[in-house]
Amino acid sequence: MSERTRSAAPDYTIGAVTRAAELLAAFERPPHTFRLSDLADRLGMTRNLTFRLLRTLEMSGMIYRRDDYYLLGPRTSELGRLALRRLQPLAEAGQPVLEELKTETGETVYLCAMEGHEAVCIAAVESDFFVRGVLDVGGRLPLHAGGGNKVLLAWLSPEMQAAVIDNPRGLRIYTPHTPHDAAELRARLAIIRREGYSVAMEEVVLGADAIGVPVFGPDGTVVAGLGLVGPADRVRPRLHHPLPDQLRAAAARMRQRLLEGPAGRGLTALAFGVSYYDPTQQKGGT
Amino acid sequence: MPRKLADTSGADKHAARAAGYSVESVARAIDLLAAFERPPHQFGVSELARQLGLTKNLVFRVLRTLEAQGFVLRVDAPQGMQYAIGLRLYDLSRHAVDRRQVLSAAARPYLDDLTRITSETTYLVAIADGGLEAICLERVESELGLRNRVDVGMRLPLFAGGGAKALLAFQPEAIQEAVITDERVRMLAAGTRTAPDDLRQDLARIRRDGYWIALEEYADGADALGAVVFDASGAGIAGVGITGPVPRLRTRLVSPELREPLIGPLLDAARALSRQLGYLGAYPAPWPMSVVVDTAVPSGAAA
Repeated sequence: MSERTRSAAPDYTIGAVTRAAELLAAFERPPHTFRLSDLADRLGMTRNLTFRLLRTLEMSGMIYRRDDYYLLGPRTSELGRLALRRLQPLAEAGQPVLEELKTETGETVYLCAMEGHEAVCIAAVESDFFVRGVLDVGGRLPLHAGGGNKVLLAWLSPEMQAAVIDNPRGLRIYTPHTPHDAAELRARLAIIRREGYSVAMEEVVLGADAIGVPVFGPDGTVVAGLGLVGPADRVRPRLHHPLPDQLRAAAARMRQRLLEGPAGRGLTALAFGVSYYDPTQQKGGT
Repeated sequence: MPRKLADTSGADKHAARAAGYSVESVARAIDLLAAFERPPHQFGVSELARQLGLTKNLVFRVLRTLEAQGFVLRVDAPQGMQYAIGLRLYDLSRHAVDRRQVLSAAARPYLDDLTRITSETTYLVAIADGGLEAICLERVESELGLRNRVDVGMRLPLFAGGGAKALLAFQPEAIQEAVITDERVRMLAAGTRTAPDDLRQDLARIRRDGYWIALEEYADGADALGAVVFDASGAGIAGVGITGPVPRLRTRLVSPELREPLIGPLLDAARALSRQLGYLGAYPAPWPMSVVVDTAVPSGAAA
């Protein structure tokens, strides 16, 4: 297997860096700890090269070695956390608003924002009920289904919307109620923009309903989706009243906090001006 | 005069062709990722090139490579195309160990050995969040009826004692000064040194000898010794200490021959633990750490 970094002109990538990234990514799979030989074999690299890459990673703390085994080191966590740090002003502005909303509605409420071409849950406050919606902060959310997340799709630029809806790989099906038809989805998005909120009846998880509203940033663009999710028997009766009003009021409160907060001005660009990156497209550098 | 690092890109390519790979480029990529630690956590190519003293071409290539792997993402900001750390690294980090876990787990066998050899309580300390104190991460208690008490999670001063003071001696100067001049420096026991100049002297001595002997610095009736532990990059990351009651330790500590059987194993443990953590250089590591400071000033030609 060729190990040369040289390749045809249009490839700007650096071979060693790609290999190092693949090495790090290898730890995603169980058992998350490997020996040098395991890694070399898995990635089709020589022991020597693998060792040198591991050593470089080890010196920066990204990888840690215990006897013969390697695992991801503390520096990977520290740098990994930075991915959410950008959106932290948004999460911080939202936290107290989420707490109030949870108290008011009794259900799990959350905030999501765009990160690249994905929606990420950036904050969540769980309901006190025994049966409740649960979200993973930092976890991804689908854009074509759900409460706060579908709201994001509704306000994306036409190009970004198209990239999601017309994705050649299709839209993932979670339940029999998951939206999956492009035309239907587009129609629904138009309704969402008109009505100002999105509802999801068992679209992602059977038995769970959700609702979402956009959070407008200081300059009027959508910076986040504010959502609520809970068991259908508790949520469905309120889905069109009074939940939309309650969520909209909360989104307005959050907008106010953003306006008054230190992050305010720069936040729009930070949180929502994220260009869509499609690895299958040949985009030149801008 | 060419910038010191202006040739990096060329050197990388040459080495790459020659050796098939340049690990240098990986080190740069890691530096690039670290650059995102500064607010606002997103930057354009020019800014990154300036910060790191690298050519824009190299920065661009590294970013493209990382982007293809999902480690960075592009952000369409009003001021132009910028980059930020992507979620891939965050996802990966869920399987990563945290710093304290790494240290505690690695240290345990060495502390067990050290206690077995010396019969005294041994412990590991690291800098606590906030930076002006130490925190005990791990300890093994002596089995003798009279012993010193150290508990995991316990906060300890950095300016007094065995392991903590040894750790302080290998911190960046700014941290040392902050600790030494802090208002919390005070007499804790009969032997505590509090004058800033005295403390500076002590720290210099630790760097010279490689260990510290603390005679009743932290608590009355308690003596201790300490040595520093280095991480893979050569930074002082922890302190290993031995602590025991004065009646047992004092006569041994004040005599050069009698203290050897204590210092020898202590240094062995600190060295071995450093190696375990990936530090392969000479012990103790040079201080201050030789950091490549990219102070290259962009030439007029840099846009």
